[in-house]
Amino acid sequence: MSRKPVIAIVDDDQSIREALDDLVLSCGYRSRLFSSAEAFLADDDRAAIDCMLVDVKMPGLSGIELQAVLNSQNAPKPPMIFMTSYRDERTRAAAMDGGAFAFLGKPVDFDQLVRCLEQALKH
Amino acid sequence: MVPLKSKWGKALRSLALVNPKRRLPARHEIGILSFAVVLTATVFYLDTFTDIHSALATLYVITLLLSAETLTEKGTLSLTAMCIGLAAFSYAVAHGLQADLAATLRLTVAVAAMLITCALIIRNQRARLDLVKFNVALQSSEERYRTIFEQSRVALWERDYSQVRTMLMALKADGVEDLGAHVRANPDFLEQCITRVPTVAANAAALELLGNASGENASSMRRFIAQNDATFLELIVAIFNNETHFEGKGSIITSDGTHKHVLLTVGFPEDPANFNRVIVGMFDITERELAQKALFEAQAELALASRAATVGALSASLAHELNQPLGALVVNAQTLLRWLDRDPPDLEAVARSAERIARDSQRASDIIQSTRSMLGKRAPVREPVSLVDLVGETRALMEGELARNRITFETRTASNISPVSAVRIELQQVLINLITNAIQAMGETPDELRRISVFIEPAAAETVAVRIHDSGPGLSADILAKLFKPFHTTKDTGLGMGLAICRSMLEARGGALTASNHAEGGALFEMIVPIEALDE
Repeated sequence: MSRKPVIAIVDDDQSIREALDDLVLSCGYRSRLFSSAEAFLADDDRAAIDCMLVDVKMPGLSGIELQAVLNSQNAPKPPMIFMTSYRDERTRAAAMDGGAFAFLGKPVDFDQLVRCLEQALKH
Repeated sequence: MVPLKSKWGKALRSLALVNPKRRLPARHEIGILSFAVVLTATVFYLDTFTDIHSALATLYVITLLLSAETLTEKGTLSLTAMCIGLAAFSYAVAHGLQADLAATLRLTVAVAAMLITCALIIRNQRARLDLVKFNVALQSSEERYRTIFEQSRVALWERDYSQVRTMLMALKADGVEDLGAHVRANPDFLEQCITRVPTVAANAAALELLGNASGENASSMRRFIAQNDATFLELIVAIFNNETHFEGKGSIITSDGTHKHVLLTVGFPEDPANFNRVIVGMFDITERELAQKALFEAQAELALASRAATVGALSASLAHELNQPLGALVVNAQTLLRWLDRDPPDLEAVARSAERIARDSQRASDIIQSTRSMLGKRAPVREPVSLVDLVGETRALMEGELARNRITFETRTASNISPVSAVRIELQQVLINLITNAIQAMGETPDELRRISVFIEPAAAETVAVRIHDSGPGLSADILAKLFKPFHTTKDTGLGMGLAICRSMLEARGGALTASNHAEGGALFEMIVPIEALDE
């Protein structure tokens, strides 16, 4: 790979954002942080993003709604890895139907997340 | 004197000479009066026209005595005057103005005898009148009492407590001082007492209260007094202590088997001789008691529900709030390990991770802190609580449960228990929890051995200890170790929060809750309640 993959992290919680940022960094990737789905959508430079880590429950647009918006746009969509504290099947099914790459529970299993990222980037 | 023919009788009556309330039948009276008239005439004739040297006139006294019953005071006075007049007339006719000393003396004696008799008759009549008046007053008082007794809507009995009093006084003479202890040592004594209290009378309300028992059925209260009813003991203790009055709540079983709560009042007579007719009043307070019990139960349930709801809401909110920093912590710690695992380790990155770990831990701790202080803001209502009364109330509250499980419940109280300043409903909640646990612990215990003993005693450092001892199998080492842990439960339906909440409630106020096994078997729970509750 000629360049470092870029991972977008969309989470309203600063601690989580920073922790994931460092994790991504330790894996040898680059990261971009967004505190909300709206902030992500407003970004002009989304084409460079290789993978997304998205919190399901956020103020404003939820992760699932963000997914729907991206699906409706006529542009290539990076693989999305969802993370949530609420492990309900309906949300999970909605995310997977919408083409999610993975749906992980919080607190996240570290190794699972790392493996997930690697697989998503091979895509 | 004249026989009481209607005309004469009327005339005499109008002069108020004849006593209207005579006690003899008319025919009898006419006979006596006729004899009196004949006697008077004979005496007068002999005194006037014969020359018998004796105080014949003294015989007029008989006339006075014979007619005393018939005449009023005024009549007796008039008759006396008439007899004296007759004697004087006879004296004048027989002796004229020749003063014969002997004759004069005889006249004087006769007159004196008549006057004295007259005075005695009048005094006797007055005394009798007083007696009659007193009797009438007594009768009307008795009538009033009967009316009150019969017509009262309060159930009233007249009971004969004299035998029981004699038994009690004999005990006292034998040196018994604590009747309660004596009864505990001689369980049959109470029974003997109950059967020795015959009912003298019962009013309609009383018979109705007992379920329209016939008078005969109600003659002994034995079958109406509920088993294990402590009130009768309190009542005889009151007699034993020579108290003048007793009031208590008891339960009775009516003839159709329903249980009723009654307020019992007994006024003891001052004179021991009157213990054969002691007035006992009962007032049916079943509905009031039931309403109060329902209220208590609702309050207790509400307290429990609101606490459970609080605990539920609290844990949900805490879980949610803590999830983020804890999630971040896990990721940070794992990332830190990755930085360390590098060759060479990236110590700068390690330091960054460690800082974030410290920050997120602090945040988690702050969340817990602010939740606690938020809870602390709800100022609890403290009031003086008598633990003795509270145990009594709680027992009443759980009476149904205790009876259903055939459990003997006894309370032993030290004499000098100070009231504690506490949140009443919290303490009651703990008591209910502990008693419920004790009841459930004795599920396998034979009926006759099921017993809950509650001891209330002052304890060290300005606290009161309430110990609850059951006769169940006790607590295994395994259970003892986990008993107060949240979510530990032996019940299928339990949340396992009961004892954990109880302990935390007591500890929050500076108290304690501990569990152990009693030396004589069974579990022993000890609540320590500070007399002055702490602020959180």
